[in-house]
Amino acid sequence: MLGFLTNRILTAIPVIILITVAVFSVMHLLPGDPTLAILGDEATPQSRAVLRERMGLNRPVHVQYLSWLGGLVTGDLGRSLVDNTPVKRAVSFAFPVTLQIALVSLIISITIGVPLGILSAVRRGGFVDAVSSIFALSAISVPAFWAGILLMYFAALQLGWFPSSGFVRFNEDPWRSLHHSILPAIALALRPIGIFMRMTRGSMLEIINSDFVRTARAKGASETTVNLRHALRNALIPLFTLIGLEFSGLMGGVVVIDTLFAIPGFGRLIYSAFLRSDFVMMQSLMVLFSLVVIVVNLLTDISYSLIDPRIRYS
Amino acid sequence: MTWSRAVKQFFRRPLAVLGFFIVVSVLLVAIFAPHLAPYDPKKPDFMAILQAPSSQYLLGTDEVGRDLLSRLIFGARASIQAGLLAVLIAVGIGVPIGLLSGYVGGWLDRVVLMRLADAMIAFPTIVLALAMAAALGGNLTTAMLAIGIGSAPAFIRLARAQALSLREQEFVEAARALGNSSSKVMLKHVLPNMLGPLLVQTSIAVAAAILAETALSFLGLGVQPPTPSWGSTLRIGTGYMQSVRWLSLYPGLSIFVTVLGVGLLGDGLRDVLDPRDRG
Repeated sequence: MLGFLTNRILTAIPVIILITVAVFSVMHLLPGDPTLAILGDEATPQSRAVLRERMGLNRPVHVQYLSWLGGLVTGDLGRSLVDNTPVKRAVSFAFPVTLQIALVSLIISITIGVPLGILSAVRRGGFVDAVSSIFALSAISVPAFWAGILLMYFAALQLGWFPSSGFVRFNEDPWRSLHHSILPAIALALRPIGIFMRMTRGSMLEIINSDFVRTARAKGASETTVNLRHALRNALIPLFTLIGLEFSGLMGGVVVIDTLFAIPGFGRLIYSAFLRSDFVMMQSLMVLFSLVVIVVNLLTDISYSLIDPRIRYS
Repeated sequence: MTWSRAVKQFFRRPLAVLGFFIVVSVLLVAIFAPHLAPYDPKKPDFMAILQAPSSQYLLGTDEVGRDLLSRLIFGARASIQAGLLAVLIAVGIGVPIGLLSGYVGGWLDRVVLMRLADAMIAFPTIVLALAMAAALGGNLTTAMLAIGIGSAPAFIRLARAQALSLREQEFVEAARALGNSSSKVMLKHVLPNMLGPLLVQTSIAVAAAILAETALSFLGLGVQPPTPSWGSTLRIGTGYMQSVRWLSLYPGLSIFVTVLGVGLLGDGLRDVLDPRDRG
């Protein structure tokens, strides 16, 4: 187990370094001069030169990269080019918001997707199976932002069940905070609902027909016991990898959903950094975005290996 | 299974045929857009701003009086183009890397190529597109490039897994024993035998690429005005959500039906070509 863990963590390190190199190179391909972006077009050459020096843009590229990397490692994410606030502070405000919405979204998608998949598999070929299969494919095909628009229109503006936009922090008012996160979370959950449903159905079908389930049935176990105790437990194993993979999509989805619902999360932070050409902010945020995805994948891999010992030895 | 039998089986599935029909229709609409659109999709008409759907404007007009139906017809072009070209890029990057990684294996596989794939997976496509738009400017080409790179890891993994299992099969071993070079074995024996699963993955990727393009255009990073696209029309529609429903309803519906069609087509392909997931 320890070997598996260290191996898994060690392979993540070169991946993270590769990402920082990629992000740094892309951001340094930027055409404009960052000092122009900060000081405006009327800046004098002198003031721009002073700023270049202060920002360290006159140093060789590899020195700039290493000092940025050193900052990342020690938790210094740099300062916004636009308002000079530390990126770290902006992140500490936005991250809990996004984490909350992503978690609510995952909970919704698992509680709907997995039971639907089980039901479909158990009633294979029947009416329930047909309806939930079509529902799953539709859920995958709906653009999250359009689902968000429809939810906003019907559930918020017409029926008034939920607030249509904005956010309340969890530590200020937990109930209202959850209330605000429901609609964005549903919009983001649709795709994972469909994916989880299809995956659960597929692996349940495979397992229902396997020898050990047939044995359990032959021993006289009730249909429910067979399905839930023997089949489901094994069918859920692949779900863990899928959660990790879907998380990347979820992190991309928050960029659109934050913008649509005016949520002060990670997505809006990076999108507004883009709009204001705040490349220091963007650079650090991009690394954080991929770091979140990597950490979640690491966690799902680890929990996967705890449940299924075969993984550790392969 | 032979390809002709697969085709016959495919057309025996009603949902797959429906998907095929939707995809062909959207393709035809995109190709013949200039002949089908009743109005010029880019020409504003300030006498006809935000007109409700009527016999004159079947789906109504937008905030500068352009016919929505015509804009949706032309908008199909951006989505189809992005869907196909982005996936072509993804296949072009992913299949060679995956094939090489799986067939050659060893150090190249575990230390270099798979870590590259891991790094690519860690970037959400939209975030990648933001970065590329910042560096290269926001337009359809940048968006397609970003979506292509974002969709490549799935092809890397698939081609690698296929190559790994095909490598051990007898006919590949036989080809190797006959003294064929590695590159010849890969291209002539391994690659042709993974076309089925690759085709299935391609349809999944096209659906995702269309969704990604509309999301990017919605954010203003894809197709630039005044060129019509479904995503950017929805962006405008959001601003008028309360009073002007058609502006946010029909573009979304166009995306949904198109992606659903590709999905149905893909499920049909999977059922006949990929025995693993047959349910």
